[in-house]
Amino acid sequence: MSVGMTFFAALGFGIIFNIRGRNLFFAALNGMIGGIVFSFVRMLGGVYLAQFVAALMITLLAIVLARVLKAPVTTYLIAALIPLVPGGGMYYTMFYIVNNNLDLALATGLDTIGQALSIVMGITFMSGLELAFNAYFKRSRHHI
Amino acid sequence: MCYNPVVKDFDPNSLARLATKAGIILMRSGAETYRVEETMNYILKAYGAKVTDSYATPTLLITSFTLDEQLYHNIKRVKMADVDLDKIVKVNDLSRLAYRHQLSLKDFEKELNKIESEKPYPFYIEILGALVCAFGFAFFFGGTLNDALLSSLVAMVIEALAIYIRPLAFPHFFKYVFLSMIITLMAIAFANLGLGRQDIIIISSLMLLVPGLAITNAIRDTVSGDLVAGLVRASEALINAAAIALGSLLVMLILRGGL
Repeated sequence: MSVGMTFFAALGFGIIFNIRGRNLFFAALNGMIGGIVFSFVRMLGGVYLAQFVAALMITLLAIVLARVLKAPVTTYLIAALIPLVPGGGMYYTMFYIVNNNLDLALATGLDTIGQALSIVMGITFMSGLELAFNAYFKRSRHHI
Repeated sequence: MCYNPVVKDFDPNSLARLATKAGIILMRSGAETYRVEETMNYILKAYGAKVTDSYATPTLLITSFTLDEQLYHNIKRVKMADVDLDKIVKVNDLSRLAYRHQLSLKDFEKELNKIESEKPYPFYIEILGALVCAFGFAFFFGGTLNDALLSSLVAMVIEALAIYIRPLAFPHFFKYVFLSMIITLMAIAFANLGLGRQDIIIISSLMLLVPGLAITNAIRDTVSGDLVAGLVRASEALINAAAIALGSLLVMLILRGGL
């Protein structure tokens, strides 16, 4: 059940970021799909791969949605991506520092940075592909 | 209705002003840099400008264009504001209309002013958004219904506080330290009362403060080749994240008697 819960997380962020109408629903849906992909790949492989694939899927979906619904990519991307951010890792790193458990703090900190970098890789890869696609078909990114 | 750009019934200075105004609305609402630059160029070209050049960073907009053999410039300082993705959608649609020559510059100005003065969701809906958000996160991070309800409560308080102190225009750093201190205090209080798990409550409600827009835009700007804007946004994200961690850390250290 916890898998679909990123729908509500993304929905909440959509409201806070003032997304309106059908865009709000699609942004939340994108967040849910990201959560499902993350949990699915997490069962098969490591957490870094899961973060990478989930970020990749979310960015791809955001680009497709932007083209179909004629709205900026950001609208569908940001609220959906935030649930992937390793907030738990950040918290535990800090928690271990406070408790003077520096070994665990270092391990968790490095793990968190690794996860963040995996997300960055996912977005970078797909955004770069989008640029190449547009350049190849000589399409402006603006008048999608 | 079709607007004929050959008949120039406007002052070129007001065109320069309106194009940068659209850019400012976009930048303040959290658009990517290439979108700000391209939108300004499209608006200028729509009203007959030649050789348009626009440059945008999160804090500064510069535009320059030629109209009837005359060179015009405009430079604007941008102040950061709250994210408002709906404004980006609307300015984007408006610039598309203008590019198809369906708007006179007067109508364009009227529409742009309308978009600028638009209000975000009302207070209670934003609070509801924070509630839904933390509720979802608590389950995603493996919490129980109890944890989810407590996280929602904390998130509602945080969002209400954030909206309440918005007009005070606190520096972002202090705002995030303050909000994260409140979150940690409330979570520790609830955990000590035996109502829920401290870590789940803190993580679920801290996610509300995570600089997600700055991170995403930093990456997309860097990929697009807007390196200055990418660096500015990356540093913004890092500083905000540090502020959140610092607030939480301070409360834990003080409660532990470590300070």
